[in-house]
Amino acid sequence: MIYALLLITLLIGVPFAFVILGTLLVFMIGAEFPYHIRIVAQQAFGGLHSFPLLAVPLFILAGEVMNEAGITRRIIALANALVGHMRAGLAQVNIWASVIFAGLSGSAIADTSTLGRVFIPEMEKEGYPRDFAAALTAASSVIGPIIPPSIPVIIYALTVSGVSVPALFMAGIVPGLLLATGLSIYVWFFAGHFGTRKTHAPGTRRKAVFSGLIPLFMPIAVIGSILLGVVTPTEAASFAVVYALIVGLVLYRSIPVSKLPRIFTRAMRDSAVIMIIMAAVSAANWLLTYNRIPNIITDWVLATIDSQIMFLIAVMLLLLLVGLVLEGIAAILVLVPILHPIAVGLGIEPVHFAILVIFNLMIGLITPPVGLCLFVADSVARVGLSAIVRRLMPMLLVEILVLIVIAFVPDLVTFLPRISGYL
Amino acid sequence: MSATFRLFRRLLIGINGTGAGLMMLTVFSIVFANAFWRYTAGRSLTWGEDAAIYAMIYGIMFGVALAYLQDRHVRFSILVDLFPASVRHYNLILIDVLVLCVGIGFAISGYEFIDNRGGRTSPSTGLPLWMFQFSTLMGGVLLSISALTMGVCRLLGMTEAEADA
Repeated sequence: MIYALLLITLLIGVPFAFVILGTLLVFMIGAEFPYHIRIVAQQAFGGLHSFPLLAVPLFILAGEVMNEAGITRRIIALANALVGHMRAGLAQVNIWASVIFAGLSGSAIADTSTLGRVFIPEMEKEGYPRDFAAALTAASSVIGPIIPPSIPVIIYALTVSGVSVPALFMAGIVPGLLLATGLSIYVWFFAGHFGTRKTHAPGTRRKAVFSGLIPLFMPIAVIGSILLGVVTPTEAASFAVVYALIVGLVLYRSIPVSKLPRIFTRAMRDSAVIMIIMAAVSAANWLLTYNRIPNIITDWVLATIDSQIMFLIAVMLLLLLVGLVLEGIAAILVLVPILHPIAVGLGIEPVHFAILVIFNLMIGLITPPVGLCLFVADSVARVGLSAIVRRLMPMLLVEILVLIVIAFVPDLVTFLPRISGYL
Repeated sequence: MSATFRLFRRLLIGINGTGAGLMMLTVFSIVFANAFWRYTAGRSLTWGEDAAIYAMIYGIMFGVALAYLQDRHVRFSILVDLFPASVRHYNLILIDVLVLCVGIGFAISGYEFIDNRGGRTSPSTGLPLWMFQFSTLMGGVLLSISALTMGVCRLLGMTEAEADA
């Protein structure tokens, strides 16, 4: 009965957080002691009562302020100065602008929307097919939540014990860069014939680099101060907001003060969408833990699968399938409390496993039928989802290839946290 | 009638938006001021951490209602997208009714939570805990009002595109 309610409400499109809360409420009303309707609100409240969790709305706010400050043009100019001269120049700029953007917003959807508005028409003007430009913008936006600061990383670290935010931030850097390099190689070979790059006046490159240093300083300072142990991720997030406000209000003077209330409201609303799922899952996890469900599943899996490789393959397939139909952060909140202890039980390095899970689920942002970045890219390009998906397929294969590489060469993920002293 | 409810929806967006924005500002101000003071004066406000957390929880409750009024929540929509527009419209009304029930249930749960645990005092702020636990009751009520308003607006002809605007 309860499972049927969960499934039906999920399938008819009730928001995910309310599916969980509603099912729990019905269960608590119908069940006897020790269950009580009070537990739902109590556990949801408890799940949100966390100081590190404050980093989520603050990083979202910093990203919103930076976007509003008009950093996009400067990021593109910087990426252009760095890689624009290469074969398939504008396609390369698209990819590496996403890498720089990742350090500022950490949101793949903001990346697709903001960069897509500039790149899709520009790439078309230079001879790239419009659907290819849209597909590349969506594919490269996956880098956003992998390179720090990353909201999924913070959520993951808060969902389980034994992994720290700074360690995961460090661990995400190489996979993010590998992903960008993989896409870069792909466009080098297969998109070089599309566009003819215009040459730029001498001196513009140096100017673009200097102009791009202002936004680029934010992620460097934030990550640097966290890694040096000077500040906690939450404090770093508040400093990032201050920096973004200085950039927008004082340096660029691109944000009128009258716009600030709307920016603050949007940041809290977007945070609430993520965090109400977190609150609902906290309440559900209480019920599962009380009934020892995660332990039972862990014991069963460990009795069935005794090889790390088998488990990693099974998890990657599972997550790729889940990513097809479920939003990444929701999937992290639901699956990680169950999968993480099994991975640890099999001797997999927790930081390695965490990055694999995040990388895997973020690929879901560009896989149909519910790839959010696909929808955003299509809303900008207006060429139809099927045309974008057709162009996207080889890029998706590149991303899966990078996933396989980081899955079976753990050092690529653990190298940076290890030399930084986190492992 | 329709115009009145649309106006009411806009009013609710304004109220929840103001609440969410103010809480975001509070969270940012407290965290930044506390960190700044710690690095300059070597100490921080004892109530700073908890106050920021409670402001965030209140902000989330305003934000949840706001996101519902603007159709921003994460949902599983593959199946529903296959439906014709008219069926999808009535399905959304059904969802509004279900979310209204969830909101009422969550408000009752919040009330019971306060009734059971609200008498204690927060060690850091010195204030009774019910003042912070009240956020769950408020969140349930705001969500119920939002779902009811959206349901009525949809019954009176509000389209998906208008709801998303």
